[in-house]
Amino acid sequence: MIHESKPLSGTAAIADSRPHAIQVESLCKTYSEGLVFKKRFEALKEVTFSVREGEIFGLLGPNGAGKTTLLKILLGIIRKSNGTASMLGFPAGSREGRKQVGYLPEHLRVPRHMTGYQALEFFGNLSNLPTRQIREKRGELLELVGLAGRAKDSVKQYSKGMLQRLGLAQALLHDPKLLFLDEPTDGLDPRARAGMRAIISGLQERGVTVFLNSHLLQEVEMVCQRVAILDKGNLRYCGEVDQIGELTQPMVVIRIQGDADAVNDCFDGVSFKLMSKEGTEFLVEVDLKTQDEIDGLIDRLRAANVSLITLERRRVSLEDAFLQIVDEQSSKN
Amino acid sequence: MRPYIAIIRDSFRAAFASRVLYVLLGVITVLLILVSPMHIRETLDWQLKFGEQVKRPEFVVRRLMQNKDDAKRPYINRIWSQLSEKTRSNVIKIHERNSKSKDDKKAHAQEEVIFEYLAMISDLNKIIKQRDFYQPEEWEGRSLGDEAQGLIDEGPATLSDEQSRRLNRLLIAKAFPGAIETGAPSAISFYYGPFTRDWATLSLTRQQVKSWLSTVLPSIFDKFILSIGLFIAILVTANIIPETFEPGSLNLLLSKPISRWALYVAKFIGGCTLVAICSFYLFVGTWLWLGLGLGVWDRAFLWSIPLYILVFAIYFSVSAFIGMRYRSAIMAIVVTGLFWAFCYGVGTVYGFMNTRMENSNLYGMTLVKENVVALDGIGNLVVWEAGSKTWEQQYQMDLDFETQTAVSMLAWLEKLPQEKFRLPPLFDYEKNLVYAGWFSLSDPLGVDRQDFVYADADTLAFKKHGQFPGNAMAMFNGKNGLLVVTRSGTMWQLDTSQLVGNESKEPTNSTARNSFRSVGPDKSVSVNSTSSVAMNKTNREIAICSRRDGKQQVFVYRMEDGKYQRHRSAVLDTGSDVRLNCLVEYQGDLIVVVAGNGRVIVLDAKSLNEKQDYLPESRVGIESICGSPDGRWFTMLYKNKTVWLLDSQNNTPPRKPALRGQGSISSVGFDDANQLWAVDRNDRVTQYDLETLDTSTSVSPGGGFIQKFYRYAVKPFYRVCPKPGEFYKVVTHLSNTSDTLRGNHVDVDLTEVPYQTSPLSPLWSGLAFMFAMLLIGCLVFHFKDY
Repeated sequence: MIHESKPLSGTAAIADSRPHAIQVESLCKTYSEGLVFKKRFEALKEVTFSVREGEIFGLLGPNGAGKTTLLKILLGIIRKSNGTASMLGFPAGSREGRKQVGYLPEHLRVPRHMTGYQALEFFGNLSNLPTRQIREKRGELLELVGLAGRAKDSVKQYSKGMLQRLGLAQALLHDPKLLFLDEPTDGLDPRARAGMRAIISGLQERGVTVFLNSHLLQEVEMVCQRVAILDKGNLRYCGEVDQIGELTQPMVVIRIQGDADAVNDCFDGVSFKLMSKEGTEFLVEVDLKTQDEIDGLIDRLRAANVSLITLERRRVSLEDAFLQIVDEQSSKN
Repeated sequence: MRPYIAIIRDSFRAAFASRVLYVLLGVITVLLILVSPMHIRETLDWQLKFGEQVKRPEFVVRRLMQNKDDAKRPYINRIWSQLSEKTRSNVIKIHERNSKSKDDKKAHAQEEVIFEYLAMISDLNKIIKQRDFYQPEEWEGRSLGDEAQGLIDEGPATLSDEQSRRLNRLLIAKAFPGAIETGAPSAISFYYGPFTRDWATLSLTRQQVKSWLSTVLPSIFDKFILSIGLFIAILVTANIIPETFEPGSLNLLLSKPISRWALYVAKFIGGCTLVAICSFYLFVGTWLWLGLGLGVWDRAFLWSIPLYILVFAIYFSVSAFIGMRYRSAIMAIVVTGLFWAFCYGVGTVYGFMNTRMENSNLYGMTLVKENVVALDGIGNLVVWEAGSKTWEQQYQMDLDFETQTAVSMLAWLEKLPQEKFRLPPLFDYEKNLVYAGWFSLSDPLGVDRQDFVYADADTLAFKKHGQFPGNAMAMFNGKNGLLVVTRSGTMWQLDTSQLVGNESKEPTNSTARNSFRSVGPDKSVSVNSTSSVAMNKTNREIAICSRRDGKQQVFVYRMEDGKYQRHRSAVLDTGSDVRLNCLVEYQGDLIVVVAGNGRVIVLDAKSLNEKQDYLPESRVGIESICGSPDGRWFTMLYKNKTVWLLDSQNNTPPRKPALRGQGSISSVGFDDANQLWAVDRNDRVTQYDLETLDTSTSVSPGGGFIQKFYRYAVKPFYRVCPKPGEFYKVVTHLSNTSDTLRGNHVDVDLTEVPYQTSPLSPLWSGLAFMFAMLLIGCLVFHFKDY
């Protein structure tokens, strides 16, 4: 089941008219292993979603969900088994499409014999950028990612975070229209993360579409406008980050004190989950959709002489929504 | 192109950043520094060496003993008196032994005699070093030759040490004519810095040193430096591809707008750069040393650079493929090493089987009534059995162990002069006998004894009948039966009455020699290793082509009063002044000589005037020449097992006839009906009418399992696989080719240049293999998901 976000309104509706930077329709990928007795594994199952130009889009999912497979298909590193995928109007993996794409891979490795400058020159040349042009831009870019003072050092001396920043610089070197960032904040300290977020926001202002693949849901929540959640090759959700909470159950957590039997009678006919019990004190998560239902529960508790210590209406974070969506599907399976 | 150039440039950068590169360059630098002081200087040749300048030491002994008290030759007395006491007593002992024994050669074959000769030559060398050896009064009235006279005219006291020694050497050669050679005036001395030793002086010209180095160096480089270098290079470069294929690197590379196959090829080319840098440094350094130190500016040597890069590239293509497929440097190294060993194994099996096949090559065949009789490479006399379509062994030559080993080794090294030591079957239809012979290598001083076998033409039951006269080199059907010509230029007639009736007797080594009687000539011309002999089947005249007085000459002998006598002679113009191997054939009215430099000279047999000369083959040495009895056709078989045909009737230049198996013909001959018989593909014999090139008879054995296995399994596999350890053949070939192309080919004796079958095959098969591996690599890379 795919959770769809509500139609966009206001400024979002204007953004909706922008062309698609990425369009994926019924995308499937099946891996086969073994020469004679082939083992087949479906990594992507009929995945359909799109990303508008200028958007910051986050792709989420647990390990093995198919996020990397999807990214590799878009970049032409692997071939799709079925369906269609396009990037900036070109078929996924086409050389024309790749010319306008910047990519920061996870666990980036830069040849150890290079300096920062040489690495930029090398990767820039690979993007068919003339060396002269690279030399004009590299100073500014290294300044942007915070490596200006270390440009002439060998990458052997770079920390993981510095390599990540160098990777971002090379991805931006040829002014891409679409930027794929695979775990971009991995290995970065909090200050650098904030810097990275600022850079990403700055890119959006320049009209660059950013496709973010990250495990750090907080990061995604802070930066992305839209997200997609993949799980076991299936697309579970695709929509606005702000609207994700609406799709999940609101939660009321109450702390009460009283006789166990009385408490039990009060919750009769209500969906709840006992979170903790200390003597006669209970912490309960209750599935109550409306204020009337909450009021009714409180009345029953009071009538049964059960004391209400606290009542909290909890906000649904992306993480909660993510876990809920993924767990929901797991329990169904 | 920009992205791919960036990848290649990055490989250069990676190579220059590699510590291993600097270690390798350092090792090469040390090697070059070590060899650089080695150089050669051309000096005057004054040393005497056993077997080189002193070919007949027994003559020196005889002359010393005969003339030591001769007042007419006071210099002999002085030489005698200056020999050491021990040498003098040895000389007396050898002389006494030689006088007692009728068989000089048997006596001098003993090893201790060789050491005694060596001691005597050492004493002679000491005498040569004396500045006052030349005493004018001792040599008065004697012609000492232009060179010696020139040195004397300069004034012996004013001569340098080297000149003085050269003068003494010339005088000693004069004192022992026929025993000690004057030799070429110059010699080559090897120096290491300012140091040299007597043993480091060789009687060679610079040209000979050059040609020797051109032959030997590529082989040394191939066998040692390349094998070790290849191993190091594979170790160093094995990580290039797997490193690139690590996810963090590869995913980024593949996301760039570049094509996969070009990325793979660019990485491959980049990987070759390390080897390119090292080999460029090594070979240019060595080339400069060869040029500056040894005076050998062989441009062909520089071919080693691209060739050795290619050799590396062949194995790197395997390493790259494994590295790409399995992303493991260790696996790439192991598989590449195993592959190299496999190729080496295939090459070795091919080499052994090829030698075996070569040994079964038939050398010389003759039609004996209805039967075809032939001699194979290891001394089997075989007869064709039409019923079973096989060659039946009729007689196995009695080869001793040393000879068998030597034959195998020489065949393996491709050094066996196949035609020179075998006496293929000869049918004497008048006496109804068939003769054959084989050489023996058991004599330490040279090839001079050959077994003589014969058979009745009806039964073909061959039997040994002792040995030929010493140094027999050819046999013909003479006017009165079998005629044998020896290397000393003497001719011997077989007395067949000795054969008939003596069959039951156990032959001794002298049996056959006692059956031969000398038939001249009074003035013999030695037929040394560079000469040859032929008999005209019609008029029975014998032509000998030999070098006398520094010139190549043809001598014709005619039977007069029961003895062969020299009838006429002429000087040949081979186009070169250097000593060349020459082969001669005399049939009809023509004598055809093929010189070692490839020139084919046609002479009118009567006047010995040159009629024509041709240069049909300028790159491969001649192996044998054969003429039809009517003198119309002459076939020339070259070392590349290809036959050229000269049609004297039409006066057209020689051409390559469309014979079966051109390129694998091991022997040709004519029968009395002027039909050509050719052996190809080891043991297939075909009879041709040369007018029409129709094949009238063909003797074609199907071949046993081994032959089929070799022909259809080993050989094709060998062709396809890279050939480690064989690339020196390509360099040698290119070097030789460039020698001939440089214009001095008239002095190059092609018969002395080792001929390699398909010398460029390692190059082509290597290239084909490398491209195939690259193509497979590109395809796998293109379709693989990462």
